Amino acid sequence: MNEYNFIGNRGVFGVISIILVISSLVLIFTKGINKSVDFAGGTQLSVKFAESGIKEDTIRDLVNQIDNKATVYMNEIESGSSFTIKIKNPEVELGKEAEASMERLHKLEKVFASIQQDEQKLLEQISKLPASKIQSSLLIENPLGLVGTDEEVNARYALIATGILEQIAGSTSIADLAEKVDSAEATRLENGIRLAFPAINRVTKDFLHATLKKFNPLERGLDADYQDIAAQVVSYRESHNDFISNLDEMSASVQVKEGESAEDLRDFFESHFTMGTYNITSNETFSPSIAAELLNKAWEAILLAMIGILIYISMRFTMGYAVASIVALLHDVIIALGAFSLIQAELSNPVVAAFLTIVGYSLNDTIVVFDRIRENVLSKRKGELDKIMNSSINQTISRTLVTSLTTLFVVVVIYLGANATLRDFAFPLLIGIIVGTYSSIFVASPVLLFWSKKIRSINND
Amino acid sequence: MRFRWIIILVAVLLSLFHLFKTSEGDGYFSTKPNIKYGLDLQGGIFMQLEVDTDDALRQFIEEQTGSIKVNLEADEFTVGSAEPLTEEKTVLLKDVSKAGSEDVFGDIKDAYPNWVGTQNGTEIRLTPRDRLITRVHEDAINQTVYKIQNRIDELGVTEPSITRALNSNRIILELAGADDVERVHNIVKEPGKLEWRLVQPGSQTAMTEEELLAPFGGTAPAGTRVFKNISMPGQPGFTLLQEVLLTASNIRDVYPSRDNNGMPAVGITLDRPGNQIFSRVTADNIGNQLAVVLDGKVISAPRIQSHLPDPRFIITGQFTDLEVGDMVVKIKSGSLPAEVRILEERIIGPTLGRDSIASGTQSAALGLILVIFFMMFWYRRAGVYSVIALVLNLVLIAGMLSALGSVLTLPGIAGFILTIGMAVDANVLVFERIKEELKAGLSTNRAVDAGFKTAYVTILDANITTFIAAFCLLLMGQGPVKGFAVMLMIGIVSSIFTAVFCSRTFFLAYLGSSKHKPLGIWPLIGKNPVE
Repeated sequence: MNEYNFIGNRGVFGVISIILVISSLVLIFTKGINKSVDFAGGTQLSVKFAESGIKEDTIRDLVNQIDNKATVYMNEIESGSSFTIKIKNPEVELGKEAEASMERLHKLEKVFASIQQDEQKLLEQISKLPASKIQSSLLIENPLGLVGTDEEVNARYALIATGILEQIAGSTSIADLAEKVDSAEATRLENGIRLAFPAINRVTKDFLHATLKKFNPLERGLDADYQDIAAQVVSYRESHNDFISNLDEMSASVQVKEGESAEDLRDFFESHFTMGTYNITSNETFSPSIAAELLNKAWEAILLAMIGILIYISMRFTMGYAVASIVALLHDVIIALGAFSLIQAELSNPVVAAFLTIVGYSLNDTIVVFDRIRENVLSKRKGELDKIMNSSINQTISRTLVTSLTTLFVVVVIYLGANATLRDFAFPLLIGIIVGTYSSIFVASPVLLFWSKKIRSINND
Repeated sequence: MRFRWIIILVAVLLSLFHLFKTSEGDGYFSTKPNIKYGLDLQGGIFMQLEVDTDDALRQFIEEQTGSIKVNLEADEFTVGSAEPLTEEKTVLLKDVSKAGSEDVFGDIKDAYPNWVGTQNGTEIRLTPRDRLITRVHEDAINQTVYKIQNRIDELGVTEPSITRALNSNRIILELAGADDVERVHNIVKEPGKLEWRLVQPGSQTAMTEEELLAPFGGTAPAGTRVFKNISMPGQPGFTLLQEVLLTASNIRDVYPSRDNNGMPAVGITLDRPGNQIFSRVTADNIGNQLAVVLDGKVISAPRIQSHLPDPRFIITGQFTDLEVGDMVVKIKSGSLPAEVRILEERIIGPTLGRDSIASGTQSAALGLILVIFFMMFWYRRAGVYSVIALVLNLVLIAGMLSALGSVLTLPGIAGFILTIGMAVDANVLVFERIKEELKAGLSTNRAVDAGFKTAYVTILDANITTFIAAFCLLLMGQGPVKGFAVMLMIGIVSSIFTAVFCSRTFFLAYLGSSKHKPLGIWPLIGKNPVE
């Protein structure tokens, strides 16, 4: 059988490897590694809009007015309706991270509301309601904090409700409307209107339950329990891509108890809720101190893994094998990091997991070859090490290629098919498997040969 | 041989048992696999909190100052004054003396062995020793965990998880299915410290501090302090209050209630001493306002209309049902012993996780199909054996995952997919070895034996190194990444069993006793070098 002379040509491959490693190092130290929010500190949130077709630039411009370091990405699968916003290293006072993130969230909510005219839709909806409904909603919220007899309070809100209906046609926003209706109490009235008409696409289950309990639209007993209804509405919303677009259909899908009417429920939702045009689906915040700590831990994990592996291999084989496999391993991790830096992908927690997998995988490949070298060294004591190594590589090459190929299948499928998080994970793996296969053939054995010739012969054992 | 089949059968049955047993314990099997999803797949709130132990120590010093003075006086010492120096973590005692005592300083040192005492003229300083500081820190963390646990339990989240990170002042909070982050903030961060104080007569709640203090010449009179007033929503103000009259320690019971108009209110029942103070205060201060202060903010400041001798009363204000419920929980659990910081916070919507499950499952299925086709094409009959082993592998991994009660996370899915590739590797190693042995002229049976035996060492070495890497990840990583490590470790154990033990059993069963049965291990295309 023909044998390819891997060992004989080691010089050529050595040069290729050295060039790759050096250029990777240059990339890592010049371009740097792009850290994601979990390692840099900051906030990452995803927002979904009711209608698609929003341009990434529109969101970016608006968001940058709040924080000019924020980056915006469109989530590809649902183009123009779902976005991820990342704000790294925000300048936040120590200990005030949570408050700052809440404040930022409120500002972002205003931006999101402006994009698909959340407010205009709310105004339109209120304009269709009879004055008595507006009055009753305001009465329960009591935004002006009125005290006095029921008649007095009622009369005041009746007046405001009529005022709202008179002014609503020419109003551009809720603030504008409140100003026109009662300029002295404008801020409180504005907040009151917002509170009285929450968005059904944003409310939490708890809130929905509390509201239903307060208004008791199905006339359940005194201690009205609406957990069942709230849970059904929320699960309907979840199963419809996070958005309820049709109140009739939603109300019809809710199972009410015997003797209760789904129609009442529909009327209730229509008069007490606005639809809402956006929904924040996830929001993650990391304080800078925890971020730095996470990154340190990740490095520690990789270092610890290397030491553990070094000890194991020097026990099972000899020191020379251990050193050669660590050299191959460093070669793989550095090149994968270089590629990572080149495309400026983001280093996040799952990506660290991927790098650790490369550590394991690269060793896996190297050990298979070393195992065969050891076997052959032990059985043919008199052969030249170069030749033994070369035939060992040739004997295992078929296995190396088949395994790399099957693993590559799986990783390529993840890379092409899965969502962004899994893809970030798959990219370094993809590079790692290719480089790992290469290094187990062209790097590990030459290093072992070098060690054996210059430092301590592995034939002597 | 029969022994081998029994082991395989037992392993598969055990996996299926764990996978489909109901958690309710009715003895029936559920139709849904018994696998727990992580927060990233299920949706919910994850928070990493840090207890400010320095703050706990400051509060401890303040509390101790009073009690040291009282205790010394009970022992017939005369104490001029006792002052907490919180920044120096020291209690400062001035002009201490005791009739008939030669060595006052020595007596105090003996009475407080856990404190370091220093004397400077008539001043005595007491600083807690390290072991006392450690105890204060530990107590603060444990109490915070306990109290947050109580509060969260009242929140009604299913399976909340509140754990203290080992040997640190961190607390990990995982609330699956929760979505109201503002409410959770409120529950975990607000100390829940309730006090009653009289509003300084002659002062009026004002929009700014300057306005509030104008009648007093711009500074707060002795014994009073300015507090934020949030009793009117949307219109914060400031109120001038006198010293504390009553605290939550005087409360016997607290419960949600309603006022005369049916609006939500907090119901309070005081204990005997509390009731005595309250009765006296309301009798002496008719016409004045009594402020209810929660966490340093005035939530309500009703005017005292008449003498209130009853220990039961309600706090009214602009509250919603939800707010009243949360207030009750906070007051009931007692105030947090120290400030809590939120280091990390993730809110994940349930649909996001569902998308990941769908996309992960699809990738896994597609990857699996590709691998199956390749193996059957490249190794034919042997390939079929490895595919059966692979399917067994998946069942075993799922079974082990549910038996260990591990949580499936997004990186966990990635680990699962990776395991497919790794499991196949073990079989490839064996098959390639068998081919070599066949080429070398060995009989089928002996080639299979040799293939498994020699490849076994390599498989073990290779998998153990990966296992070491996974173990390091488990030690160092946190959250989702831990899920990945667990999955990888489970996958390695299961792969070795299925790819070595199970597939060898299939070979043995096929070959039986005949020595030269063709193996069918060569690719579908190309020349067959042996058979």
